[in-house]
Amino acid sequence: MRCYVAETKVSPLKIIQRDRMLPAPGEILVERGERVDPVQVIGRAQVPGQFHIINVAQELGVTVRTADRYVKVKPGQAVQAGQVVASKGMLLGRSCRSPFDGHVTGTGGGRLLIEAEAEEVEVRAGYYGVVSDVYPKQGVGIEVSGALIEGAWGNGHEGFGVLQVTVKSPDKPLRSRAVDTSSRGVILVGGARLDMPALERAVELQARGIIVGGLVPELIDEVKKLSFPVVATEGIGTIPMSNQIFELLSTHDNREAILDGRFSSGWGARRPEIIIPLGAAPDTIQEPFHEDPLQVGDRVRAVRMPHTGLTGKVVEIPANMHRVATGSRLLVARVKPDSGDESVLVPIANLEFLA
Amino acid sequence: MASEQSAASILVVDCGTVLTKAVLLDRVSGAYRFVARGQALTTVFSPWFDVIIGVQRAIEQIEDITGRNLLDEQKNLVLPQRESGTGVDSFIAVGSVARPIRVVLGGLVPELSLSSLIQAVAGTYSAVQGEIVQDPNRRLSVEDQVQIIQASRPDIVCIAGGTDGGAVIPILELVETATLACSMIEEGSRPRMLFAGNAVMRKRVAEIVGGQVELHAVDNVRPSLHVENLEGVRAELETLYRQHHLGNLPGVGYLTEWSGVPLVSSAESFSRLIQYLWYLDESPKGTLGIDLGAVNTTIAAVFEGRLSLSIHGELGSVYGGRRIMDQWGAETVLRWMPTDISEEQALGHLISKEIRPGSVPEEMEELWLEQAVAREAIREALRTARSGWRASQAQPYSDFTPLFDPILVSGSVLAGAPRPGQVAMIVLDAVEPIGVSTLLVDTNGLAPILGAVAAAKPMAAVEVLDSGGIVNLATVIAPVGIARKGEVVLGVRVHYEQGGVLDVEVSYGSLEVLPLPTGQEAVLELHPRRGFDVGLGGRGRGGKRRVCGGLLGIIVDARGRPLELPQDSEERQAQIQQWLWDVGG
Repeated sequence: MRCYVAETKVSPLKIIQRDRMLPAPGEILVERGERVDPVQVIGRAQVPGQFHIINVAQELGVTVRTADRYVKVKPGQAVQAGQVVASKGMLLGRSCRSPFDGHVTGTGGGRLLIEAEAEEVEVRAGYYGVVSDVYPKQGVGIEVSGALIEGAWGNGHEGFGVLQVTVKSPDKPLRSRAVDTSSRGVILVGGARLDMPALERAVELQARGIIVGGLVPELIDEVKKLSFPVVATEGIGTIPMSNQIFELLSTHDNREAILDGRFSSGWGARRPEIIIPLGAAPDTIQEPFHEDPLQVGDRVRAVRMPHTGLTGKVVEIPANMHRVATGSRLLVARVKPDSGDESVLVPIANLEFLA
Repeated sequence: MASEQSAASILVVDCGTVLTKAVLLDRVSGAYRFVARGQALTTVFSPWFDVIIGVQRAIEQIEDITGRNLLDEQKNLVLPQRESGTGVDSFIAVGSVARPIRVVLGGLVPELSLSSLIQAVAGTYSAVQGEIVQDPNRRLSVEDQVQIIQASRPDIVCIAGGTDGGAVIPILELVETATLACSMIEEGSRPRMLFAGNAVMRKRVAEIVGGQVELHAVDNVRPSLHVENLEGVRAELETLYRQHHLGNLPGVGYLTEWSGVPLVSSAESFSRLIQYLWYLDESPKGTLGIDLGAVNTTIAAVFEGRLSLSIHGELGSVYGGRRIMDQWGAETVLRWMPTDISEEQALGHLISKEIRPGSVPEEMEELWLEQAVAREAIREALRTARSGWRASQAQPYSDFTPLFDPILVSGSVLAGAPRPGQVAMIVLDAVEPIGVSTLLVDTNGLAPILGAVAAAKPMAAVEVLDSGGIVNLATVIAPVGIARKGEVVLGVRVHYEQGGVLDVEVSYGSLEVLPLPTGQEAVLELHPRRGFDVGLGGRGRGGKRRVCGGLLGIIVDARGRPLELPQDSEERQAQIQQWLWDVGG
């Protein structure tokens, strides 16, 4: 039976398209075809500031119907903090004042709406690449040529820096002794997990990011508090980094990488990713996703216990269902691990392509 | 689409947030039967961004199982069925894959208009982002109200208040504030406004809104103090979800082209089935349907033919676990584990499942955790849903679950449980039924689609149900009363139709399973001890009931209501393990 599995992108060279959008309609500062770097501002937008509603009728003690007569400003007019915007009577009469600098944006119903000056927000490119699309007033699309690794979990932060591989093999944990003064300002690459002393050392040395295979659940809350990105490539727990990912990161040791730790699950799920910008563009356009069902010979990764993180090749897809340890009867595939160990049966639902 | 008269084979797909399921129904020996099902990951998100890919993949599995071609070389569905057997005669699609509608509610009195609005919205795929109330006791300033709407960025602001011909000024103030807030949002992103208040005010509301916002008006949710009318708001939100949220998903155009009609929401279809089950015998008891999805848990309860539908977002089997642990504490979930597990380990498993929602547990610890989440997701959804039920005579005890028969459960965690005893324990622990109930389990994923099938071809749905498309899990007898543990509280005599009698005395605190295989029938004779009620007319009253066999036969759940778990964790784990063994879980 044809079975399709999820996929994780681990690509040594790929054209990657990413959008950078403004938080509100604004001004785009770059043009299509322009080369950008991560810190370059691609656009700016005015994010609405605070607002205040003045109940003119109530404050002046007049009816809603007559309140407009006492308003001294017009919609669109700039006002300053303390400026009288409505008043009744002369010297000893009552008045209403603007609480801050801003604009009158609405009147009516005996009320006056004043909005503070909008706050200007700049959005940076976040990538080395070429502007491939300009969405007027909204944002830009950036085309990046480089290696792409999709992670499993991230702490929500973005950043960039130079990769520093700190472990010799993907099953070794990232320990504090591997984090020394040469680690200042780099993205640390560990193996199966990260421990608290290593995390503290990374903070002390102002690391720009951390990439590990698995993150133990006890550290999730700590890692979320950091100001730099942390990405777990395999998932939650002590999980050796996939060989393919570790080799790719090792190949680019000391090269600059972009680490996007933004992660969300559920509707509109988002996976974290690592992009290593490379000058050369690939010869062929790659398919956006794997189109074929699982077949013998496919490279896969197991994503659930007890095989989490195992990578290898599919060597057999039995036609019949197989009973697993829980008692469930499931469609399975036999996978020969890259490690050379004995082949294992893994439920197809727990496999994903490493594309 | 072939006409209803000629249509024979029917292909139905259900596009969920995680999985897309396809089901083939066809005429076999003159009646409709369930033929095959296939499933694939839903492909509306990265890297596919096209719902049709998952649909085609699920259909391919049906092709492989049946050896019948349904798609052509371009992967288009062949409609109608050819003489060669290729293709199908009709196609129906249901879905729950779209983003929920973001709603801000506005009302005058929390206990009246706002409460009715909450009930109406609960029956739709909506997420309430905030409430603005004109109640003097919790009065929000205009700034606060504007802030709520601005920060929530809702798709729609629903405003109710005033009986028809009643309050005027406070409603107009509410509408003014909502209009002001909406007008401050840039055009193109402004929410719609739905007015479901004092019908007399519609014209003045329209004048205030004055074209700044798209305004819809529906029947008042509280036309008078004692009358509630939720259908107008519910129907409007259902249409919005179907047309703008489901309808705008990439690839849905193919599905509507194949079916000739827009997608129906899965909950709408599911609720029609539960309503149909009630009408089968119009019992004074209610019927209950629980669909435990990955994201939502849908509860459909029918009393005296009236449906109460509620959809509980972020309370599903995949994404509900962390929310429940965050909101009510980890112990809420972990107390259902038969083995020891730390909070951190549990959290790790739950996040791993969220990252790969289509994966399945291979180890017992992960399976128990998934089932613990299922129990608590259902319990919480029922707790919320109950406030909207009008169970009348089906509710002999206000603190306990009303009398329900049958109780139908659906969803991957339940359908995919390795043993039927595990499903039974999830339902008994989560629902805590009382009296005599039939438990039905939807092992083939038919429940969310049969309502939609019934709308297009009623006999097909009836015949598929009659032919065992949905499996009878067990008949449950749950006496209500108080006794000491080990005291006999119920005598059960089973008269098997095929001959033979079985007598059992049931002790308080125990779970008993009595054999009655699928396909067989028996008459139950129940003799509750004085003070115990089995739903046959009051405490101490017994009687006879004809019941059908199921996967587990008859379960007598004499553990007491409300169900209490031992405080000590070791004792509790041993007790849960014991109960699982008792029912073969």
